[in-house]
Amino acid sequence: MSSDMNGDGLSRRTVLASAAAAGATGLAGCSSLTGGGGDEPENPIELLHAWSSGDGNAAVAALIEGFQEAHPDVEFAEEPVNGAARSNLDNVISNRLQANDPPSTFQTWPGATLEKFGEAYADIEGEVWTDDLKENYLPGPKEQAKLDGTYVTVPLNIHRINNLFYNTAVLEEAGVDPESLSSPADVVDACAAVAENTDAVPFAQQTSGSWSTIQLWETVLLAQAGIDGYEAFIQGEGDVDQVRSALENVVELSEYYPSDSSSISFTEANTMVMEGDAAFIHQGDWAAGAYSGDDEFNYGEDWGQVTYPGSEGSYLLNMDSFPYFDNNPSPEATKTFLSYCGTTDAQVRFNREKGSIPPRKDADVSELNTFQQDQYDDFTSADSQPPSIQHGLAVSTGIKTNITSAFSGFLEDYDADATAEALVGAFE
Amino acid sequence: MSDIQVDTLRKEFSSDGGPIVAVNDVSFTVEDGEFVCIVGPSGCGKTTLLRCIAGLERPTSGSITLAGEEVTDIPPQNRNLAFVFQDITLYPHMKVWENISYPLKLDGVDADTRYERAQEVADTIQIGELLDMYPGDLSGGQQQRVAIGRSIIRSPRAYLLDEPMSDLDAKLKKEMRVELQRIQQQVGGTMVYVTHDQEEAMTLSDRMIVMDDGEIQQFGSPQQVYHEPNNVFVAQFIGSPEINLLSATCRDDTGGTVTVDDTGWNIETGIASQGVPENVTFGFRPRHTNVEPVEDLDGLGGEVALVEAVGDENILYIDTEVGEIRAVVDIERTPIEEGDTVAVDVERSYLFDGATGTTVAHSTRRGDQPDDQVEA
Amino acid sequence: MRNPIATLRNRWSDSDARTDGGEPASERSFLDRDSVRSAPFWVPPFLLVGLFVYGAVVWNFFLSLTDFSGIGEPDYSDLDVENYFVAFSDPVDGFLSMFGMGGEVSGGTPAWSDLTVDPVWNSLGNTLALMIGFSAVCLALGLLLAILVDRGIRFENTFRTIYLLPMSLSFVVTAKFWLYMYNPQTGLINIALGVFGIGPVQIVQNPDLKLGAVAFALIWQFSGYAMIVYLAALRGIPSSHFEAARVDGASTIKMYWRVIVPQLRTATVSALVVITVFALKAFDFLFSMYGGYQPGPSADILATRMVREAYANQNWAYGSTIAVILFVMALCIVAPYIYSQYRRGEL
Repeated sequence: MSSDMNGDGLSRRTVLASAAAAGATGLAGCSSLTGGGGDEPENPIELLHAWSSGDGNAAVAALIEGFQEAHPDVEFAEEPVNGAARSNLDNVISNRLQANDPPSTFQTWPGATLEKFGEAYADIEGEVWTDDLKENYLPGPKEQAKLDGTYVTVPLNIHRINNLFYNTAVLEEAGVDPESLSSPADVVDACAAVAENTDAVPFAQQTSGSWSTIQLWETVLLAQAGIDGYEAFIQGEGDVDQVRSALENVVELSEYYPSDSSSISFTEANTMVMEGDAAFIHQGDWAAGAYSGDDEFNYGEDWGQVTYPGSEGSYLLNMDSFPYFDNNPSPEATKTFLSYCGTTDAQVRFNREKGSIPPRKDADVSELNTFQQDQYDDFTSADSQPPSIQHGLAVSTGIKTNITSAFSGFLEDYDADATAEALVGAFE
Repeated sequence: MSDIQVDTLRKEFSSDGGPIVAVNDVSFTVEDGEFVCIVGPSGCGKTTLLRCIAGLERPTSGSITLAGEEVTDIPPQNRNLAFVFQDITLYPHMKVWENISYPLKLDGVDADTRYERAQEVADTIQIGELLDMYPGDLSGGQQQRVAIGRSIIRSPRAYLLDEPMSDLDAKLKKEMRVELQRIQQQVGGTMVYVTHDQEEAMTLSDRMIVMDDGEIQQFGSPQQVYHEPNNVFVAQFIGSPEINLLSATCRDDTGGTVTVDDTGWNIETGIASQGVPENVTFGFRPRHTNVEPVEDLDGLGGEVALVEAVGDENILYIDTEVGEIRAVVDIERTPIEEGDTVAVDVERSYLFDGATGTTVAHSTRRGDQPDDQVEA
Repeated sequence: MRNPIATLRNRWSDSDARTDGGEPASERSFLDRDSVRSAPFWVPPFLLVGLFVYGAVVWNFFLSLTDFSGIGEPDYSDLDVENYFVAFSDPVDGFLSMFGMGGEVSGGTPAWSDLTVDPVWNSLGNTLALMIGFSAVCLALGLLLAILVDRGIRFENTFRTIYLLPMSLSFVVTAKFWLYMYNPQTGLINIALGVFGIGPVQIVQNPDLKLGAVAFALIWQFSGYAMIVYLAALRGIPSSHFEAARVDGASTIKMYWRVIVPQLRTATVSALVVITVFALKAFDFLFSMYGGYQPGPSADILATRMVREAYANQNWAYGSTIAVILFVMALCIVAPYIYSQYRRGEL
């Protein structure tokens, strides 16, 4: 409803402002949109996303606001798909594609996830992926924007997976120096120290869903086996010993989970850290989004973050992106929008709200918070930017389903041997 | 088999408006092997009384004794009684023989024996060929026979029947009455039979209890109850067509002649009892009348409003100055048509206390035992 | 449910009888027939149901014979039952695995996939276990509650409402609620167990308790429904049946077991149909409880597997295959009911 009214308002404004706007922006696509008086008016951009609440919603609102400031002549029909998660969004897209009625674009993980709707995407190299983008995106994210070597999507943020967040006060009480940890095994030892010296839960984790455990395992694998071992695994050539070793480390860590880990959600686990009931949490940097919302819990003073011990030098990626569908209902407007998403302006606006960082290396991050600036420094100076398995970048959906199945079994019995076999077998 | 003693039995039901007394301190004894009907209008407490005897209701006070054993606080399953319900209670999921022999099953009798016994009982009640059918396949009469069969299979202390024939049609009712009497003679049990149908009670009972408003109005043989009713209610309830009742004044305290109120009719009652009060209700049964067509009416009588032919008899509905009265006449002896003016001569009269309704006196049938005083 | 069909059938036989009846009937215009004149009322729903329910079922069956993987048009020219072979591959070990026996179960690699696809044995076994366990306990509990409520306890209406209320909740709410109830630290279940000196027990991810925990929550939700169905049936039994059994000498337990319960057959069957179908659809519950369609091997049912194959893996044809298996299972439950109704002349 509101977006409809927005649309009406825009179309009225379009008449007044289109000429000026076309001149002002100077971006490819706009002139063809507003110039061709004889053409039929294009459909509004239809963006489907699952950011229906919280920081995601604020971020996408900021992005669209920025886009409309820059392109007041382009109509926009934003459509959050309500539901628990993006799996629901994927179902909607799946149904729309089967009905041959794709939206303009939607929120998706890039990388191997693109294979899921692979045939439905179109090449946007040149028109959207200009030389400017190619120069300024770092190799990791740039690689993830491609499906079989073709640019089909525009990543607009980067979350990092290999973080270890901690509550400063709890670690001080336990006598643990987070900076001194250098391997996943050290984390286990630190947890033992926390357990011994404090009443706090050493390692906040939720295990009702498998995703937290998968991203913990992939982080440990990266930390133990290094970037080469990790790359080998996602190519389907993983070493079963390395995989098992990482799983065994997770089993050891699980001794230090909250006893009700299977009944709580990520939010509850994260709150334990904030309230001093837990020492560590391994999570993507969205965990920090919750901290920044709490004035009593400040970065550097009350909480801190280290790259997950052993994985220094790598920035384990999780990204969101907007792909371009072939058979697009609003081809020109979509390309205009995607081009905007590739700008530093768009990425700073979006990430300021989302808590993640821009994928462009030339972004002016002074508007972001200190933690984000630190992360951005880490990112631009990282040796490698491997894609996350859990977050759909590294492996195709079929393989990922197999991996998730393996971990849903792992959560039942914590059998490292069987799970290692299943994980290596996930590529068969 | 055994006798049933009921002593000052009282049953109250609670309701929003305070307790309702369904059975009000009732006492009576049913002799061993006797067939007793409890009859009364709806809501008189007759079914409640029967259910108390069965143990399905717990009396508020009083006691019930079966064959010398007090059973007031014993649950129904331990009283060894048979109960036949108004809505024919057959278990739809059991075959006829299973229904009949169900009480035996509860006693742990094996299936073969049960089938044999069911066969015997079914032969007694003449449904031997229906044993392997389901109740749903039977007619109403057959179903009721099965229900009765179930009640007699176990040789209970007594049979309690709660209006078992009210769902049957008239013809079937008559058949079943005969059947029931035959069965009762055959098994020789004590039976207590509740009905609202006085005719049924009259034909079936050895003795009958007439109930109204939770109290026993009369307990006696059908003849006693019919000919010597204790009060207006019993006189009115028993007998069909209903007794004629007229308010009257007794001029002397013997009740020989009464004057019907609001008229000048003086009627010879043939009664000569001392102590008849001044205000009385004068009653006479429609069958105890002689009706003659007359030109000019002087006394009890009026215009025939309706002639209802019932077999050999006609029931006349006669409009009089004091309302309708009924008379039964032999169809051949007295040719009377609607519109005729008739005089009514009363053969046998009842006098009830005008205030309490209690029977004060009644005459014997004129002619049977000629009464000099009446003639005089 | 049955009345419209019976009415339709009667109407047809009526019109047949009239047509066969001779000249006067056949002289009546075709347009005057009841079946034709009433067409505006029954044809639209007939077509809609036909198309969207039965048409979709048939279509889904054909889809299961294709290699369709989500994008574009399915290829209906090349139909085969390969998906069914994959679904039931390794039949002996697979079948035994449902009872915790047999060897390793291996999957198959159908033509449309690069990856090995697992057969459905595990989820089939879980579905059956859930269906049978949940339905049986649900009915038993529902009957018990119905009998208690029927025996004229105080505040009967309140109890009835309390027992029925969970049914009005969505599966999502139930799942979140029981996730909390099963919490080893703060959950009521473990607190209750603690009173007897047991636990705390980890339930939600415990392979031995998982499916039972799911069934328990569903029983909590649906025994009220069984109760209402039974209560209605109990109320339909004349009170004289209870009393007759009493006078015949039956104790309370015998009275219910021998006389009353056998008369609840119809109620049992209709409650059973609804409840088992709910068990088949426990998907929403698992989805909410385990935050996705990966509840883990101990609680994986056909419904989660189906959605996983279709939506996560884009194995649409295989998802359709599992849907057909589910459909056949549901049919196996409903068909005897419909047949018995038919036999008893109620259809």
